[in-house]
Amino acid sequence: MNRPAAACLAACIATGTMLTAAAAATVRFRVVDFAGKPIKDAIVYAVPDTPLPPAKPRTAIIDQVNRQFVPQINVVQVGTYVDFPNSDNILHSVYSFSPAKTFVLRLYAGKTEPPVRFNKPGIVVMGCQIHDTMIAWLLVVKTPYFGKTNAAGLLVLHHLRAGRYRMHAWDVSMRKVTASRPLVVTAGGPPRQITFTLKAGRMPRHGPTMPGMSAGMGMQ
Amino acid sequence: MTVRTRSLRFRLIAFLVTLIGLVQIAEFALMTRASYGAAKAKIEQQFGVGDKVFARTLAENAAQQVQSARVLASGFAFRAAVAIGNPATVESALENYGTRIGARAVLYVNLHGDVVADTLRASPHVYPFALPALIHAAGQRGQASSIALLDGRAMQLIAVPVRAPLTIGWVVVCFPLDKALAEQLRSLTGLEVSFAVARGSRWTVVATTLPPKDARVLPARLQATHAGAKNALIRMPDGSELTRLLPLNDSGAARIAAVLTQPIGPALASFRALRATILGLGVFSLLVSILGSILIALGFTRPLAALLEAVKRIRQGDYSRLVAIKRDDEIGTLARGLDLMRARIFEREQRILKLAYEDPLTHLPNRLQFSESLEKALSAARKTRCGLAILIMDLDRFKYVNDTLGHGVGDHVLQEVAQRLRDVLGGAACIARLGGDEFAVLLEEATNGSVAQLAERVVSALERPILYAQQPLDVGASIGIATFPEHGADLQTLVRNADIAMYVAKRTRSGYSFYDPNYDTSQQEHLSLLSELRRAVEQGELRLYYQPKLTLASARVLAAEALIRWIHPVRGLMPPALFIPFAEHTGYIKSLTLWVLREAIAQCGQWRREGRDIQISVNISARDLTSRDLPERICALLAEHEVPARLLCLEITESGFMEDPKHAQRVLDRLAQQGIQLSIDDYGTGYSSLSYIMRLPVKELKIDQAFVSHMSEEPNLATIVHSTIELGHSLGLKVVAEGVEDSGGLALLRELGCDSAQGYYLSPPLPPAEFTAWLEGTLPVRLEGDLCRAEDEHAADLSIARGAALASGAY
Repeated sequence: MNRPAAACLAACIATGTMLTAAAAATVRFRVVDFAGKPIKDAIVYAVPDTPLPPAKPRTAIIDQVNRQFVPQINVVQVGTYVDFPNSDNILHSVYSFSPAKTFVLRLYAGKTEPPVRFNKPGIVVMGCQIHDTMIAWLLVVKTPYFGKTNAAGLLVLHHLRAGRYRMHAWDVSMRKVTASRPLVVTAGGPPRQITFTLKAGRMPRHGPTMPGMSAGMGMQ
Repeated sequence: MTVRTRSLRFRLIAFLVTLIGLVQIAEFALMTRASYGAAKAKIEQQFGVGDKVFARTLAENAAQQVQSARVLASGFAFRAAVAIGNPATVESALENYGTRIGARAVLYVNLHGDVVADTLRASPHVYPFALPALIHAAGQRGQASSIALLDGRAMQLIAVPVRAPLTIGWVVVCFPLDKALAEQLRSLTGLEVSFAVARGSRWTVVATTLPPKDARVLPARLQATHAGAKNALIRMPDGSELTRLLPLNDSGAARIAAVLTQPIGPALASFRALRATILGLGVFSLLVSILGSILIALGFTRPLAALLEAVKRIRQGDYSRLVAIKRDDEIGTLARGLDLMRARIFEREQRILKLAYEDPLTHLPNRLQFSESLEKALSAARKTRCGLAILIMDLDRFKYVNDTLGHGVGDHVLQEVAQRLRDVLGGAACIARLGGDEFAVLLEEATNGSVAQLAERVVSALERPILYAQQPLDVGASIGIATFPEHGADLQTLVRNADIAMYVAKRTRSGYSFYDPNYDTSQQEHLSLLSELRRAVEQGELRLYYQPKLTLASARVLAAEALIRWIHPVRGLMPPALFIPFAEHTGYIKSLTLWVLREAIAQCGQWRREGRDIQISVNISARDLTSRDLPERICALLAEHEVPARLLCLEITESGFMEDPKHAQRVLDRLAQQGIQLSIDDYGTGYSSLSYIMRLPVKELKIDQAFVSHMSEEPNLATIVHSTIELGHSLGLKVVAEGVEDSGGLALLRELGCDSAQGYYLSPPLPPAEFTAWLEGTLPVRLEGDLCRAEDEHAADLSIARGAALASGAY
């Protein structure tokens, strides 16, 4: 009972904010480590408590340039197609054994392979069969509100509808998304700033372990 | 050669050998120790290299295995199988790949540290991996290797991550520490390799390259020696090998270690060969040193031994051999010194021997030498049964020469005699001067004939006068001969008998005489003579006979010579020649002379009382003149019997006053002062110097009967008598002729102006009563006439008268 009331309140606040601005709110995020150092490329996303209407599928691109995935760290909404073009003049074979999405693209060059649809939330780690150093992370989230921090660890999310959210922050060094906090967005009012302090921030020396594969054989 | 432990040689050799031996032993010990140390250091170095190689090889092996594991883990299909396959799939993949890289076992460990698939057990099963540290290390470094016990087996474990593309788990590949690995390591390190596991303190060998025999004892050794040591060098108690315990894990209850072993034996083979060589060399050089030191020691001691030998010879009195050690060192100096000493001693001994055995005057052997030679010759002759002879010779008139002409002349005479003896008796075994004028000759292998010949030659050689300062001296010699074995078997007998024979020869003036056993009886008589003579004096067996002295000018008998006679109770009348020489010899003559003087003076006194003044002549021997109280005694006797001194005449032979001429002169002077007449007896036989006689208070000269008795037959003798008479008269002396034996002689004496005559022709010596009878009898009267007639007629009947006188005499 309480929950609807709180949600309502939060929505009000958010709506109020949005109402005062453009019927939507902007939230500023700052992600730092325990030392207060800003974390770059941390992914922050906000999941509204109220389920959103299904979105139209979109397509994202993870290019392969100079034996690197570009960008390395990605975030998409569930149901998004990701295209893996090969911009190198050598062959790559992209694969993922992550539980969120397991796939193997045969060796190819250029843009011959079809895009891969990620319809399960979770962390997907992709590599190249040929080049072990090529690693790309793709966080699949159930919200359209997400983004990556810049070099200053800052991210600004616009157009957040007023309402209640659960805010999450994740860095590639983290085996799973653990940092979360509630957020009530009200329309109008000054932009809010939320700071996340993450434990992560450093890559393990010999590479990160596979997210979501900590137990059992790694298979869920 | 006997080894005398106190000898210089032994001590020298012992010292050198001990010294060299000790040096050799020390050298051997040092060299052995050094070379053993070197060998051992080399072994240990090799060993150190070996275990470094071992560790490195092990590490490389592990690295290789890591690579294999990496290859396995990075295979996409494997990754896919692990990432998405079921446990059975994963297991089969592990098995497949494990076989491919030769692993004993392969495990898959998930990110939780649990083994979710392995090749050791059938799946499904999930259990914690026994070595989380390995996984952790692999997480840190991307790989890890470790040696550990897995399921009770010593394994090399390699852990590598499986990435898809991030790490999703770990593959652990297990390689056993087995014999194959040990063999491989041995081939690389050259060491025997064992893998051992200790649970608590109990060791188990899991794999080894050691022969089974050594492998069996290894656990016990490890346990006993270095149970707790890490990386320790274990020396086996018997020193037979070097062993190193190389821990392969550093934790856990079960320790795993590699045991590296190097047998020392083969490694020390070269050392042993070296040691044998050193030992051989040492023994060889010791032997050489011993030999050398013996040679050096002999070099010292051999000449010393020669010196000792020389000293021994000298000690035994053999000085003849040189001490012939020619060396330039101290021993040589010593030898030369010794030789000089030997020569000096030899010289001195020769001189002493010469003094002891040689007569310094004539350089003939002396009595001692003669005795020894004779003893030797005798013992030789006893063996060979050869004869030998000794001649003992006495010079007849030496004493006279010596006394009158001095010892210088005497010595010259003795030397000349010695020379003549040498010339004549060149072949005699020994010519010796026994003393004084007595010589002896030893003839070996002599026969009586040859000895007689030799004696003859000696006599004639000595009859030749000896010249002294152009003056001929006539000594003459008498020789007594005794032969072996006829005349005696020993030295004493032979010498005594030769002596006896010599006296006989002298007495008989025969030149030489062989001993005759008959002499020996008279000799025996001589021996008892002294006591008999004493008894004769005491018991009145002695008599004085008186021989008249005829004064030729007046044909009267005014004097007589008193002559001693011994009426022996057994032997009858003893001629003076049988006992007077003996009495002179023994000194008893003094008593006899005194007796004679007393008797003669008493008789003279008696005749004086009867109205006859007859001068009595008494023979005085040389010995009598030596007694100082002779003048006093005579004086006393004369006074006792009231005899005037002029009625006593003392007859002295020429030699009588030659013994001590000065003393004799004093005595004679005193006698003459008392008025006693002195007369030279036997004049002509000796060599009295007339000038000397002139100095004596002599009034009378008695010509020896040797000249007188045959004067009428030999003109030469008459000439001598004549010149003697002339000489006597020219010196103012009365001349008396003795030994008148015929009327021709008597007449001739008268003719020659001789003052008095005495002889058997006139009268033999007569007892006092017969003497007085003779004086008063016809014979003197006839003689008186005879003398008167002789001037103009031939005294043909004198011989008859003499014959009558002889017949009537008490002779």
